[in-house]
Amino acid sequence: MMISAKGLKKSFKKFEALKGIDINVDKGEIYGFLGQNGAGKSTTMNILAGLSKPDAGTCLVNGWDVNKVTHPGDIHIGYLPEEPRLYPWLTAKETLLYLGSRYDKGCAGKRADEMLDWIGLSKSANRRVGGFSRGMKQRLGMGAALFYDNDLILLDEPSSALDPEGRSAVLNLILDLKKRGKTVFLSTHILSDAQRVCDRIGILTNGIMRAEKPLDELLNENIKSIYDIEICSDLEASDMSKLKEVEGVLAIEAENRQISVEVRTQGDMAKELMLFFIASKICIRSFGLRKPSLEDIFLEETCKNEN
Amino acid sequence: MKTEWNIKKEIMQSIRQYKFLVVFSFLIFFAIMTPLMSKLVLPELFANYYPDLDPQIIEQMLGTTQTNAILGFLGDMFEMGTLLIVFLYSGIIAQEIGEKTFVLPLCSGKRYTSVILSKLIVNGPVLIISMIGAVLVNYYYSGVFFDFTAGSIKPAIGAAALQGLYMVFILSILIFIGALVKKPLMTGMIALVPAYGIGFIGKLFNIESYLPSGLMIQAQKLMQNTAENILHTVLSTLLLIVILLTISIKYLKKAEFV
Repeated sequence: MMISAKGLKKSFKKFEALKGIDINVDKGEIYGFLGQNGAGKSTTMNILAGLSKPDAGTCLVNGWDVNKVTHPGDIHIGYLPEEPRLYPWLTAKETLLYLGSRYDKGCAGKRADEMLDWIGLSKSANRRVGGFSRGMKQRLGMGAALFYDNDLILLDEPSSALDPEGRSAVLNLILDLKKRGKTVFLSTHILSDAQRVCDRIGILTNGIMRAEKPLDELLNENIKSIYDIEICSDLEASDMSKLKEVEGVLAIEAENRQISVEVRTQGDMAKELMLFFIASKICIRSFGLRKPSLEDIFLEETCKNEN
Repeated sequence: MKTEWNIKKEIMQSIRQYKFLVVFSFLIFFAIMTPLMSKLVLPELFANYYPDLDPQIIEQMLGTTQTNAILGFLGDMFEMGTLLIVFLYSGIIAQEIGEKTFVLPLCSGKRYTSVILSKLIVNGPVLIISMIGAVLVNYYYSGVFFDFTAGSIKPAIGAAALQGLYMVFILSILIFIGALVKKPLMTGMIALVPAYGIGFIGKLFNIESYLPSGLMIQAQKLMQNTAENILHTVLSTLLLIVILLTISIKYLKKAEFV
């Protein structure tokens, strides 16, 4: 297990940022950490990075007890904060050399060139960071987080300041890290990104972990009893009334050739509906149970919390 | 590689933020201006106040010699030099903590001890060397204006080194307060209290020889060949610097960067 946190609590004066959360991240996993603004994500990230101590609870990161860590660097993780603060008077290459000074001189130089190339800042290697855009700083921060090739990487909103091309590159990189057996803890607001790359999801609202499950399990659990059917021609009014009379059908929504049928239970309804369309001689182009997106699940969880 | 880059980073920071340039030009400016003022401006002022007095009498009243000019410069440096160092270096650690530029270096394995010592290793000698350079310039100009009556240059160099050490002590105060309050301006304001107040305490309890403010007195005495117990003062100052840095490092190890 790369991260194992139990009952993490953290307060700032009277405000309880974390109310006893558990996090479990296995080796080689991409963990999506989701939550609204102020949910406690950055507080959690700071604790995992060894920059802050929890008020209560245990937290093992990469085998280190964060309560006992005096130097965050001892945990040996790559960490990209939401807004990486860099020295404006250093150039991009100097920044990587300074942050990567555990390597010996030759290796560090070579690695810095590799990273600059990879993050697309080769041409700006000798430019001072003070003149960089937010996206460029984020890329450089990403380069710093991955400089040491650590096994665990914490990324706090890594693609929030990037253009679509940069965002796609970051997601591909995360998938590449997974292929190389790395563990990635990804905090993001962009739910489609999390759905694309994550194996496991944790949803945090108001300092409480609402759900922590493998992505597939989370999606399957939240499947609604709605069938989305695309037909080859418009549905006639008579067929519509017949469909409503099928046992188990609760509601129908039809728009052009797209029909959504809500049923009481999934059971044999797929077969029943198929039989209806065959009997009515209606050609079907596609037929399937509606799968919720991560966004639907996230919104539902946050709504539950608000209620 | 690790320490080498910490030192390199501090040198780059001080050069690129013009800190070395500001310190050096400030010191040299006053090193030249102090004897110039004593030679040209002060007699002129006296002549305006007492128009009937003979210029030679005014010169005797002012009693300016090379030694006095150097002493005047050292006194100015305690007052204005301290102010400059306090505000120029108020962010030496506070800014890094406050602006969170400290976060990535810490996560990439930098040690508090190494980071703080690098700051002192780079800026401390620069302050001492700049001070010695400025006193040498002052020694030359005072000699040109008032004749070379101070004798050997060694006491002047020694006095400058003591003054430089006092500035290093100010740096350690800034590191200590910066680690606690994390805000550069507030650090500077608070640091002024011990920087100037320590002399008052020394006088009040008659313990100046064991306080950094004693360095200024020893520097003055050195120029007048009456110095004694310099070693006590130097060792006490070094000890205080070590104590302040140790507490700062211990505090930072427990601090949270959120």
